[in-house]
Amino acid sequence: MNTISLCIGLNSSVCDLSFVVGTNVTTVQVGDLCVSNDMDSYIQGFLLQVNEIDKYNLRKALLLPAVAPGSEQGAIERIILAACEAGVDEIIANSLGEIRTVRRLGVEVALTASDFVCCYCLQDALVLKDLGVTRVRLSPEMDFSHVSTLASGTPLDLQVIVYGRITLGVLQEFSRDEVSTDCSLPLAVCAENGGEALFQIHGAEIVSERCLDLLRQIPDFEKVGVSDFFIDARFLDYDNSVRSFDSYEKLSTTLTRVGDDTVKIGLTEESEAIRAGYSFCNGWFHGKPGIGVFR
Amino acid sequence: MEIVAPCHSVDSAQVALSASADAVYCSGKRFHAREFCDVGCTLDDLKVVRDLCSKFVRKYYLVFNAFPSELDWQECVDVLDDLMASSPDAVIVSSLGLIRWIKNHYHVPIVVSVLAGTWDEATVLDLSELGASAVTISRGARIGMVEGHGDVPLKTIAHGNSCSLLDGTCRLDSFLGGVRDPFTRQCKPRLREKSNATNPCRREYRDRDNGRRVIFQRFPVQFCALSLIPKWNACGVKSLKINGRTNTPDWIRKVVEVYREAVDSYLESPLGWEVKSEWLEALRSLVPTERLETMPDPIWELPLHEHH
Repeated sequence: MNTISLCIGLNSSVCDLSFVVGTNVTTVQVGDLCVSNDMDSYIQGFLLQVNEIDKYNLRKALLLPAVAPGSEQGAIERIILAACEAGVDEIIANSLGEIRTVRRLGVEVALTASDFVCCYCLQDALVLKDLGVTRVRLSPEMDFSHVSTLASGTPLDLQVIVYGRITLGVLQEFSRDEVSTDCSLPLAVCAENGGEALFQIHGAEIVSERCLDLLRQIPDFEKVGVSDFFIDARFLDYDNSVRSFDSYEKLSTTLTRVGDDTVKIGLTEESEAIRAGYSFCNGWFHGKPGIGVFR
Repeated sequence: MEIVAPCHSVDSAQVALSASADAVYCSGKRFHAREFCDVGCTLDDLKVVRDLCSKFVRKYYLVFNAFPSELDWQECVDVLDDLMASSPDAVIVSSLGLIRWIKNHYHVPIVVSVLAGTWDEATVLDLSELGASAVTISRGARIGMVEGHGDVPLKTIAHGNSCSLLDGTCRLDSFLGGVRDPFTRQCKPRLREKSNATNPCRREYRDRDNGRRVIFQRFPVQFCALSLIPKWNACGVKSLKINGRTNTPDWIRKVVEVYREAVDSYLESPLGWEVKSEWLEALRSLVPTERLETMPDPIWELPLHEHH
């Protein structure tokens, strides 16, 4: 049986984690990229989730916010200390400043650099390792060749986002005011001339409308040495999350039969041909499936 | 307080220096954020720019601010090695790996680009420890967030194109336009699409459910932060960077002249200093079809003026 590690990221409203029972989830990530309410409420919220995770004997990871109320340095420290006191196993940082803050506080917790931290090459990875980072969540701007090349020599664990809406950016404050005026969030946005929605706006975060789906490519990543995967379920509803797991359940069951000629998993010939040059997050808009199929 | 002007050619460098810019920044052909706009210089041109700066007793900064992947790392360092023959006074980079590489292989100051996404003083301090001589703070950083930066010289974007997303987080272009090595973490305007309207964050969208117009930024494409000069000076910002390597030499000259006069007048007589209307008029004359607003102070913290 494969020994992959699967982390699922949840938004602050999810408090019932019973749906992870029976799946391959090893870690649950809590926390938001942007904090819009007051800090006390925010901390209380993720502590409730941490308590829930403990019921299922799973690892606990906390995503630090990229933007906190007032963006004051003290806010990040409060969050880190509260999380460590609650027994969080891993902290996911979005900037060198947050990495530095975790180090400075001297807390004993695994440190992961998020996909917003610069890590595109081995030299970047070496710098992050020296700063105390042990794992990197790779940017969905990369494509398979980037990942496999980086995996071959990196001193860090690499984690690939394999399912969920892709975060396309964090709005500046002035822009947040603009897009939220007279609109109810989340806001589905399409091109000026209409058509399918391109992305959604959730507070300060812009995410893709469709979900990236690389679940079927997990065996390809494993072949190049990546065994750590992330499902970003922060903007999925329960049903969608469960469906993700359903499909992965089937995949993980299938993986035990690798070698059976009747089982074909991984890339098809067609996706092989268009693999090169398409980043994961571009897999949909050009109308070609690419390596990252958006569903 | 240094004024750093963009240039994409020997002519534009000449113009910027004649307008009394303290420094110019330009790139080679590869591994910079405007690679697809064909604004890079040849090595010979960079050497001429270097000579011009020496003649004017000014500085020349080499822009090398893309994020190389492992696939193109070797090409990247080879190109950098070639460009270092132009003897820049500093190299502007974004990649952590390149910061370390340059620190270990060359004796040249390193300036961290705005694309690295520096939002707080802790990041400034970390970058300094990595080897950066100066750091350009994000356009979204609050002034209060960088006051504790210690002795690390700070640079800021003072004029030019605005960005709707936090520096270092934008993937809209990758999502809509496909990957184009190297990574830049911002829009990659292509040569034939120099209009700002093509940048994803400046296009108009619709609310899918009710058809209402959605725009990510209501204020004009270009911003002017003259009014922040006193605040930046108080925070230890030592360098004001003017964005816009794709602009004409005439644009560069006029903007540099305005900022030169503004900075010099402030440093000479800071008490009661104000932004002059003739400065704003001079800058507005450069963008006849778009309104140019001077942003309230602090730049990112107050509601915008009505634009439409």
